[in-house]
Amino acid sequence: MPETRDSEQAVPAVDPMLWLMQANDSQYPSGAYAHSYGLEELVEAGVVTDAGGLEQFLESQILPALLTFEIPYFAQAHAAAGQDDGARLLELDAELDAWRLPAETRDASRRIGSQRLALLRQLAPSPLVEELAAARPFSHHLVVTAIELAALPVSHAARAFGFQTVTGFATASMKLMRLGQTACQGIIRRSLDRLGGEIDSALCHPGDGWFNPLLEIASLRHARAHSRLFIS
Amino acid sequence: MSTSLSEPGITGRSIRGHLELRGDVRADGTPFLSRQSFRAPVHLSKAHVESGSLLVHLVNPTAGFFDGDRLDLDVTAGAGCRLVMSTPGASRVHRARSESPAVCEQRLRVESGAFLEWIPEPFIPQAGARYVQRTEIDLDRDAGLLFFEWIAPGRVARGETFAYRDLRWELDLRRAGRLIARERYTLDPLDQSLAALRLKFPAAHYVTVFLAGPDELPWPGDELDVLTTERTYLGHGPLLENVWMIRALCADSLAARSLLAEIRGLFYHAAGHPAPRLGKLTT
Repeated sequence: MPETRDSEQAVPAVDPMLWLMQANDSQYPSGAYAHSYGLEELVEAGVVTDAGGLEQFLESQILPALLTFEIPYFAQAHAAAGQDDGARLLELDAELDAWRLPAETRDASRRIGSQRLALLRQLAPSPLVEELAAARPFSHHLVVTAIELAALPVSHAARAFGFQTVTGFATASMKLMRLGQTACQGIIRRSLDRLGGEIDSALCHPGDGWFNPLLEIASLRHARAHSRLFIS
Repeated sequence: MSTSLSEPGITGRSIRGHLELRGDVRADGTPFLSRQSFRAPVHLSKAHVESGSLLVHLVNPTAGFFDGDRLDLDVTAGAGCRLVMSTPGASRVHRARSESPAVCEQRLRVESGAFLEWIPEPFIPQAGARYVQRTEIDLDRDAGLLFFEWIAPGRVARGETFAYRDLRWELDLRRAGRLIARERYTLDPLDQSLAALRLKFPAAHYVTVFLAGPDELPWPGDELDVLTTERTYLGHGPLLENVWMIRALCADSLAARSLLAEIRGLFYHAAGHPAPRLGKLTT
C-alpha cells in the first residue's frame, strides 16, 4: 500500500474566502515586509519624497504595470492552476525571469514566492503544490499566489494579488519617509479605488509589458547600495 | 556575396527595405562579409577591419522612416567572427501621414566564439511619428554581445519633446535557446507610459545596453557605479546565463553620448580587447 503524507489525510476543505483573508493578512509570514521593490532607492535618489509623490508614483507607474502586465499574466497562471496544469505554471514561472530584468526584482519575487510556497505546503497542500515545490521551490510570487487562490474566481484572486502589490509599496514607504498610518491608508484606499475601476477590463486583456526604466534602474542601484533597510 | 537591388522596394509612398548580412572568418583569422544583401533605405559602407573586428556602417541615405515603411535586418556573426555594426547618423522617424507605423524588424544572431557589437546613433522620433521595432537576439552559449539602444525624446532643439504619436518596442534575447530578456512596451505621450522617463529628467534620453562575454565577463561594477552623475541616472546588473544589462536615463544627448563612449571603453577594457574606432561616438 502506497504511503500517504499526513497532510493529505488531515487537511479539510478550506473556505476560499476565509483562506483569502488569512493569506492576505499582514500577519501572514510571507516575508514581503522586508522588501521595498526599488522604492528605497527612489526615496534615496529624491524621486519619491512625500505622500503626494508616493501616490503619484503608484498611480502613474505601479498601477499601469499591474493592469497592463501583472494582472493579465496572473490570470494566465490562475487559469493554469485551476486546471492543475503544472507544466504551464513552470513555463510561466520561467518566462517571468525574462520579464523581471533587475536581479533584485527577480530575487524578491522568488524569495516571497518560496516562502508562500512553503506555507502552502503546510496549510493547504495539494498535488499541484507538491509538483511545483519539487520542480521549482523558488517559484515566483505571482505563480504561487495563483495556486494559493485557485479556488476563488479570478476576479477575486487578481484583486488580492493587486492588493498585495499596492500595500507592499505603501507599507514600505512608511519606513522610508515621513508618512503616518492614516495618510498611508488613504493612499492605499485611493490606489485600490483606481485599481478596482479597471481590473476587470485588465483581466480580459491578453497582457503586455510596461515601460518603467526608473524603477528598474532603482532596483539595479539598490542591489549595489552600501547600506540599505530593505532586501529589495 | 550578393547585392540585391533589383526587386522593387517602393510601393505607393512607402519603402520596403532589407539587409541580410553575415560575417565569417578566413583561415588566417581575418573577418570578412561572407554574405550581404540589401535594399533601400539601407546602404552599407565598405566593411573594413578595425582592431580585429569587422566594422560595418549601416547607412540610411533617405531622410528617415515614414509611416508604412518597413525594414528587415538579419545580421549574423558567424563562428569566431568579431563584427561591429554602427550607423553614421541618427535614425529618424517622421510624422505619420496615415495609421500605419513604420516597422523595423531586427534579427541578430551570434554564433559560437563570435562577438557582435550593435551601436547605432540615437533613434529620434519626430512629432507625430509612429514606429514599431522588434528585435530578436540569439546568442550561442559562448558568444559575446555589446548591444546598445538609445531613444531620444525627439527633436528637442525644435521644441519637440515626447511629441511623437506612439512607439512600440519589442525585444527577445536568448542565450543557447533560453529566453533571457523579454521587453514589450508602447510609449504614448497621452497615457502614463512616459511617466518614468519624465520624472527624472524633463527630456530624458533612454539608454539600454545588453552585454555578454564569450567567457566569464569581469564585470566593471565599481567603474559603472561612478557614471551616475547629476545628468545620468544609471543602474546595472546581471541577467541570466552570463548576460548583463545597463539601463540609464540621461538629461540630454551630450550626457547620453558621453555615457555610451564610457561604457564601450569599460567593456572592451574588461574583455581585454581594443575598442574599434567608430568615429562620431568615440571622440
